Amino acid sequence: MSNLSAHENSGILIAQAEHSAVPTTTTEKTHEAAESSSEEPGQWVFFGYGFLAFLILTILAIIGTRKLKLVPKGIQNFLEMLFETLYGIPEMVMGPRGREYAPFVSTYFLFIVTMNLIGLLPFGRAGTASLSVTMGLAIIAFIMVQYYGFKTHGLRYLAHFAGPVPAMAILIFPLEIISEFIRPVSLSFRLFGNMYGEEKVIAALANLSPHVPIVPLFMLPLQLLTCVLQGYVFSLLVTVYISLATEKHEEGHAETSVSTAH
Amino acid sequence: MEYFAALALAIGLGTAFAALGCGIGQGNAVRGALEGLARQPEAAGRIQTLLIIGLALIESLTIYALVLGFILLSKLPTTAQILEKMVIK
Repeated sequence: MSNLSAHENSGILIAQAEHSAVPTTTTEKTHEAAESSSEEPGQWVFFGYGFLAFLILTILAIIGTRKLKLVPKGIQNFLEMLFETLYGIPEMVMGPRGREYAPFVSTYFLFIVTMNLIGLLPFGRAGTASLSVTMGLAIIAFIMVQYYGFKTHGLRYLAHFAGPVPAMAILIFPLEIISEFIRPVSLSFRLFGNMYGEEKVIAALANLSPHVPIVPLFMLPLQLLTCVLQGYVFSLLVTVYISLATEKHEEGHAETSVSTAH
Repeated sequence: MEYFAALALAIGLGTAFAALGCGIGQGNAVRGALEGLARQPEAAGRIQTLLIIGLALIESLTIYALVLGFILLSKLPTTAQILEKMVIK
């Protein structure tokens, strides 16, 4: 990830590798121009915005819980509503045992949504519009899913990769391993693609009316929806992955929601 | 020059075709969810959760095409650079 963070332009690491391979067709001058025309900030800016989201959440939590009342008002009311909604997500997917994983999953929701919303502010950038940030989030989710799986089943967790039929295990095992490793990639690319693509759409619309930026204004409500929805989708998918990894087989498959979620 | 023409076509059409398939798939998914909802309004919460998961999974395929489009876009020279080269010729 480190060579990604150093680079300029789009935050896409494949682009960087290909960039140096092209100049057989383009002249050196065009190559230079492409390098210098990048107005995109370095990758560290996105980490800064991520840290800002962390600070906002911490301060909000401290202020909201300082004077707790039985009948909540203001910030405390808002936080309690958020708390109940977020704890409802894992319970909806896995039933009562989901409560154990609720703090982990709802942290994802809060962090991602806050980062997305910072991107809506003037001069703000969404921290999730960088592949480094989303990939980091997804890799943590991947590791934690494996951890929860081993914690629940012990070494028998590995057996669930082999599928239910022992004769087919040789065929199923590589497929399951691959699909397990694809998950962080698809998680991070989904979030990154949505947020980065959205920024590009807003920028393109802003170019339509350079002097009075009124056109992108109509895009903002839609972007607000996407910001919250992408955080919801990310945390929901992490919940589903945890639910698949920690599933108890004795209880049957009634509580599994999506068995082939990638 | 044909290389860049093909590249430009690929950028424009790639995401468009992905969006075509994604639109059909999401339409089917939403139709199924609405039919289920009309029959069993009490299952609204569960259907909504599954619908959003499904839509996200369908949509991610389009997002892959979009990311690919951005990667290809970074390889395309700007109009000014192409014009400059044509003038030199």
